[in-house]
This record gives sequence, C-alpha cells and structure tokens, in this order.
Amino acid sequence: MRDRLQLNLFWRAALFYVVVFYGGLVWLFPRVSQWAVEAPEPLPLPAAALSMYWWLLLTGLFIYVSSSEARRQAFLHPLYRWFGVRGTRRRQALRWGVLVALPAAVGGMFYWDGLPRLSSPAGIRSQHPTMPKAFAKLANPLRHLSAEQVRAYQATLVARGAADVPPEAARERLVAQLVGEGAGLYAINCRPCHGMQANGAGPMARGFRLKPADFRDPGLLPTVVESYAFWRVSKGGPGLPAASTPWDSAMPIWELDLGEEERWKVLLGEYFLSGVGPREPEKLP
Amino acid sequence: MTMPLRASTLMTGAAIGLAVVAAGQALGAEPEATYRTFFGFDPRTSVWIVAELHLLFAAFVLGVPMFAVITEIIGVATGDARYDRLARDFTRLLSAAFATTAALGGLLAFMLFSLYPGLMSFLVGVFQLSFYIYALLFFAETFTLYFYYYSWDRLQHRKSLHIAAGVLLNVAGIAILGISNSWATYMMSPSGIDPRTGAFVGTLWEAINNPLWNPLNVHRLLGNLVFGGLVAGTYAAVRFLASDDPAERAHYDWMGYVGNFIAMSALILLPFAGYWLGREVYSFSPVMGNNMMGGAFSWTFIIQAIGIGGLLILGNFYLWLGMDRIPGAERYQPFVKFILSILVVSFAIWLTPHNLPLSSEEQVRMGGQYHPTLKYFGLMPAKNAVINFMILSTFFSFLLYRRGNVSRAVPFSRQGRWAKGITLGVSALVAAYLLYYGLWLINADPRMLDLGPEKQRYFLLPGYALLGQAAFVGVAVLLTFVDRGKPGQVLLFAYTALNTVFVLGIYGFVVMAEASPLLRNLAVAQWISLLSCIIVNATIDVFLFRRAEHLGALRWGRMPALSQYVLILLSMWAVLTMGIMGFIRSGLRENWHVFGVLQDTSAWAFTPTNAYAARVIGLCALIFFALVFVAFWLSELGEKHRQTAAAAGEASPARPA
Repeated sequence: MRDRLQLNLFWRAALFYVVVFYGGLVWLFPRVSQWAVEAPEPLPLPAAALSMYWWLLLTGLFIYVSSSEARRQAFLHPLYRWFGVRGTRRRQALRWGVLVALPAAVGGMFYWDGLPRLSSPAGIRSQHPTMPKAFAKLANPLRHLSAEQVRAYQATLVARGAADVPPEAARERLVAQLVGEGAGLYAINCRPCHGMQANGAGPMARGFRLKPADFRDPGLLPTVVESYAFWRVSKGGPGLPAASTPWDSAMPIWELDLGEEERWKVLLGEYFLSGVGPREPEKLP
Repeated sequence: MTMPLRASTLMTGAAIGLAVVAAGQALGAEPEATYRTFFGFDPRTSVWIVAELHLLFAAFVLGVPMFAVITEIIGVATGDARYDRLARDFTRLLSAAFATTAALGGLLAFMLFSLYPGLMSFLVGVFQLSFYIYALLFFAETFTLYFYYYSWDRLQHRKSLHIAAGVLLNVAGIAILGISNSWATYMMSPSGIDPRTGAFVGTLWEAINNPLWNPLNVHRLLGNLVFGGLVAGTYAAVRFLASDDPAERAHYDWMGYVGNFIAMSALILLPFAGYWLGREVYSFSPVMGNNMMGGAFSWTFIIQAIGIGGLLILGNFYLWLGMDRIPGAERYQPFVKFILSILVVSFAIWLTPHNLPLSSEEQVRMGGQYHPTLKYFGLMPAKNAVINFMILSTFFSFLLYRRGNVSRAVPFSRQGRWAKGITLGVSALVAAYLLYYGLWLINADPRMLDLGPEKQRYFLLPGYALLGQAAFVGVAVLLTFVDRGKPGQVLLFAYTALNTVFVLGIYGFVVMAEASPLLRNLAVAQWISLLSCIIVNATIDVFLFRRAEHLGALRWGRMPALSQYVLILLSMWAVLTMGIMGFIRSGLRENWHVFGVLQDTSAWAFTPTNAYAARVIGLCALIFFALVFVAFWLSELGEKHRQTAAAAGEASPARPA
C-alpha cells in the first residue's frame, strides 16, 4: 500500500517545485510578511526576487536529481518509460502532444514575458550614492563636545545669572539642549515627510510614490557615517551626482534654508528620534 | 618538453628588460598626467584586458607551486609514488603558463608606461627600488622553477633537496605577489602622503605597507590556491573526458579530485579574507566603502556574491557526484538533500540585495523602496550568518565524503599516544584562543571603538558565546577520549551552527543598529567559532577513522561525464568571479589613479556600467581559456615526446659496448 502511494523521484521533484514556489514563495511568504509588519494586505515578493529564487530552486532541483547515479536513474525512469516504449496509438498521440505542448508552453512563457505592456519598467536604485570626497572628512562638531565648547557654555550660564555648574553637568545640559534644538528643527522641517517617530510615515508621506526614508530601518542610518547623512540633508535630491541616477528623491536642498550648524543639529535630533546611532568611522588598526 | 620552459626563460628576460627600459623612460618623463590611446582604442579597457589576463595567469603560476610542493611532500611522507607523479603533473602545467604570464606581464608594463606616463612617473617616484627587486625576484622564480622541474628525475633520491627548491620557488612567488600587491593597494590607500601638498614624503616601506596591503596579500594568496586548484582540475577533467584508457582515467579523476579538494579547502577561508579586505577599505575611506557595498558597485557586489555562492554549491555538487565511486558512501546519500537545502536557502539569502529593482507598482504596493521583510536579508549580519552556514555545510559534506568507505570508527582509546597528544594539543590551542577572544570582548573598553561606555553590554553576548564554544570544544574532546567521538562531533556541530548562524547572526542586527563598529568584532567571533569547529572536528575525524576497516577500494575513474563538466564549470565560474572582484577593487578608486592624490583627468575616468564590465570580463575569460588550452596542448606535446622516447628506449636493445 505504502509503495503504491509513494511517488517516484520525477513526480516528487515536480511536487516539491510546486509546493515551494507557488505554496511557499508566491502564497505563504506574502502572508507571513503581512502578519509580521501588520500590513493591510499581503506583501508579495518583488518580481526580481521571485525570478532569482525561481532559478535557484530549479538549479537546486537539478543538482539533487543528478548528484548520484541512483537518483539520476530514478528521475529519468518515468521519462524513459513514457517516451521509450512504443505503446498504443492513443499513448503515442499523447506523447506527441506533450512533445509539442511543453516547448510551446516554455516558449510562450518567455514570449509573454517579453511582450510590451502598460507597466513601468523595473529600475535599479543605488542605495548609497557616492558621497563627494569633500564631505568624507567632516564630523559633527556638536556630537563630541570639546572642553572649550563646554567652558563657553558654562560662561553663558554664568552670564545668565545661573550658579556655577560643574563641567560634566554643563556638558550634559548642553547635549540635551542641542538635541532638543535639533529635534525642534526636525519637527519644523523634516516631520511632515519623515514623521515625528522618524519612521518615514509623516502626514505628507502618503503623497509620495516612494515613501520617505525610514530612519528606524537598521539598514539605513546605522550603515552610513554622519557626514554622509549631512551631505544628503545639505544637497537633497537635486544635489545628487549624475552617477547616482536613476534616483527618486523629493528631498529639498536644505543648505538653502538652514545654516551649517542647524543642519548638524537636525542630525542630532534625527538620530535621537530614530533611536539609532550613526556609523562611527572605523579606525585603521 | 624543454621548449616551453626555455621559452619562458627567454620571455621572462625579455619582459623584464622591456619593463626596465620603460621604467627608465618614465623616469625622464614629464610629471603631469598625460594619456595616449592604444592605436586609437580606449587605453583604460586595453590595460584592463591585458592586466586581467596577466593576473589570471599569474594566479595560476603562483598557486600551483604551492600545492605541487605540498603534494610532493605528502608523496615522500607516505611513500606513495602516485603523489610524486601528481606533483610533477601539476608542475608540468606551469611550464607553458609561465611563459605566457611573463609575456603578458611585459606587455602590461609596456602599455602602462606608454599609455599612462604621468601615473607611472608618479609610481616610479615612490616605488623605484621595488621595481628592481621585483625583476630580481622574477629571475629567481624562473631559475628555481627551471631547476625544480628539470631536476625531478635526477633528484629522485635526494628528495629533501628537490623539495627545498620547490619551497624556494614558492618564496620567490609569494614575494613577487607581495610587491605587485603593494603597487595595486597603494593606488587605493596611499600612505606617506603630505596632506597639505599631496606629495609623497614617506619611505618605500611605508608605501608598501599601506593599509590594504596585507588584507589583499592574504586574499590573493588564498584566491591563487583556489584558482590554481580549479584550473588544474579543469586540465584533469579535459584529459579524463578525452581518454579511453581506464588507468589514465583513474589518474585524472584523482587529479581532478585533488585539485577540487585544494580549491575548496582554500575557498572555505576566502570569504573571511574578503571580509577583512572590505572592512579595511571601509576603514580607509567611507567613500570607497559606501561605493562598494551600497553605492555604484553594490549591484556588482551582488553579482560577485552569486559567484562565491556558486563556487561553494558546485564544489559540493562535485563531491556528491564523487560519492558514487566510493563503496559504502550510499549510507550518506540521504544527507545530501538536507545539505543542499541549507546551501540553497543560504544562497538565496546571500544573493538577496537590500535594494531590489522595483517597478513603480511594486514600490506603491510595498510602500517604499524596501520590501518590509525581505530587506533584512540584504544586510551584512544576514550575509555573515549564511556564508558561515554554507561553509559549515561544505565542511560537513567533506566529512561525509571521507567517511564514505570506512565501516565504523575505531575506538579512540586504541589510537596511539601521539594521536591523543595531537588531539589534545590542537583542541587546547583552539580553546585557548576562543577563551582569549571571548574574555577580551567581555572586558573590552567600548571607547576603543569610539563607543560610549553604555555600549559595553553589546560586547557581552559574543564574548560569552565564545566561552560557550570553548566549553563545547572541551566536551567534544572529552567524549572522544571516552570513545564517544561521533556524538562529540555532533554536539560541536550543533553548537557552532546555533551560535554562529542563529545567535550571533541575528544579534548582528542589534549590533548594527546600536553599536555598528562592533560588527567587525562580531564577524570575527562568528568566524573563529566556525573555524574552531572545523579544526577540532577534522582532527577528531582523522583519528576516529585512522586504520578503520574499509568497505572496498575507491573506484577512481568511475565518474559520470557530468562530474567533469562540473569541474570545468567551476574554473570558468572562478575566472568570472575573479574578474568581477578585480573590477570592483580597482573601480572603487573611481576617477583617481591614486585615491585622493593623483586624479585621472582622462576621458576614460568614468565608472563603466555593469553591462560593459560583464562584456570585458567575459571577453577576458574567453581569451584566458583559449590561451590556457593552447598552453596545456603545448605541454602535452612535450609529454608525448618524452613518453615516446621512453618507450623507444625500453624497446630498443642495449647498445653494444
């Protein structure tokens, strides 16, 4: 009974393909993604990813069925039996039907895939366009405060009539003040698109085809040094080098509206609100 | 047979002569960057093609002597004459390839000095002395190769002298590699430069020992071993397919297997060397680092990832095909589907980019540029986790393969005293290093990575994970000593997979967001955890199956033709992957000859598209294989001549006195 129910390798491979590709990648993965991020609808795999996985799955199956003599024989046996035996007229007709239909189906699939249709072409987007070298060496002057900056702040406090504040306490107060100012500037200038949670979901975000950057994404801010973020804020979408195209960005050129210190402050606020730190420039050993 | 080597000597001399003359011309040239075309053709692409061909041949010529000498040493140690023949076969391949390498090297030097006189004038100003040392080393390599190959028969009974010549050959080869690497890396990460004037004010050693020199040395050394093994495997595969003689087929089957074994052994270490190189690129310049992983070359990097993953999968495929020639290996066939599943799933994650090509409709549906869940596969922690899993699975495949024809493990207690000593010594060293690095992480001061003291807690998990790894190494060895070696190995495998892939792999996302500089140390922790498993489990395995009963002799030569095409595909795959890697490494400089110091002001300073690069790399691969087949054919002519002469000598009666 068990032998009768057991499929041969050819049909097992075909079934595996259908279950993994259609069941797993086309049906299950979008639903798991929907559940994971609480999206309103399933999130299907992009065509580019699906195509890569399809090739990989077929390659894996080919390797499996051909990696031993026994499996090669087991896989080809039904084909030999199907095509190698003369059989009845009906079977011969069916065989010819399969021989014609299979290449026609594959050819049709590629033909259909290549047909011009009304849809936008898929585009490759460079995640981190090349930063001009002039920005590479910049560092946020407000992130690691010098003793001189702290002393100047202490003097300001004294001038305002405050009691003498110890250096460490003054440093903490100054940091809090700068981050607060940065968050304020962020709220005025960045919040409409990037949102107060810094998750790219501001009130204006829905108006864009490409969602504004989610600063909480671990693959975004933590992967670039702070001078990189400063460059992006300063030059915006229009200031990107030609090599970065195609690039979809509605980011304004903030250096036209904000001074240099204000832009550094904005970054302090942005990192604070997103809860991530900038990538520290690594030192050579 | 003598023709190729003599030709190589002449060619090497001519090449060095031309290079020195060209260097002399450059010394007197104007310092500003001037450019010429190559008979009206784009000089950059011309130099690219010749440099890539030269490097491919050089990789083969430097890689093969390493394992030729090792094979010869194994032959002497085991007293098995087959290894000696194999080592000689490997060396014979060098003879014709060496001449081609030298000719291409001379052409490359000539083209560089002619087409880029400004750049070469600058480099001569920095590296002049090293050029002459390089030329001397080339002579040394030529003569040692000449001596090594031609003294094979004469020194049959003085093997130590012959092996010493082989070692000298490798010393010269590695020194040549180091010097030429210093020129290439200096162009990426120049040192000894006055930041105000941009002038070179350092010493020659400072220029050589630039930040990327050692990472590239290690990467290329391992890469040469991989490449040499695979090209030798291709030669064996072609000979196997062309032969009808069972004895010859058995020999070339074995040669192909050894070539693949060497390549895979080095390939296991290569991703870590690549990671080190990549990190140092990032450390030297965030601009180059961003270009590499997220910018202009990010898609090229994905293609390169496909190349690396493909090599691992094809290497495993070849091993599984080889299990058919091992009596008893059918016991391990059921494991194949699990190993393959791990490899395919890991490969899928390995090649998934963070940033996929999307249509507008897809962007709208996903609400942005990134798929909300798939995007995590594109980040470095995911890549580190899956490459470790692929390497661990490949190592597992190797263990199954070598166990194929042994019936059962020999109780460890029956192994000799020195076997126990070696196992204990190796494990103690491994555990000591794990403890050292683990404790270092636990007690590390985050400020050394420019992190605040509150980030110290992120150092703890990888530290304790390594202490756990050391403990499991101890447990595995303990179980081995009480004749439970197999469960010990399983435990160590299980902990390593859990620790390296799942615990530290997933923790990488946390570290990336909260303490990104620590990601480098986390990758090191993953790597030494994996390496400890490989070293300790391999050592245990050797002694578990030493003197074990065999289920039958290996049926060398009984391999399907498919296996030989896999070997050929492996080397073609390696050539393309090396081409892409070289394009990325060199292209990262963008419009700089010497990054940040000497700008490329020519009309060819732009970064080529991936499509253009693919065409050039494909063309180089085609030319390379055409030249390789001609070179191998030439070496065959010599071999046939030798065999005919030997046969005639045997057949002819002794001369009258």
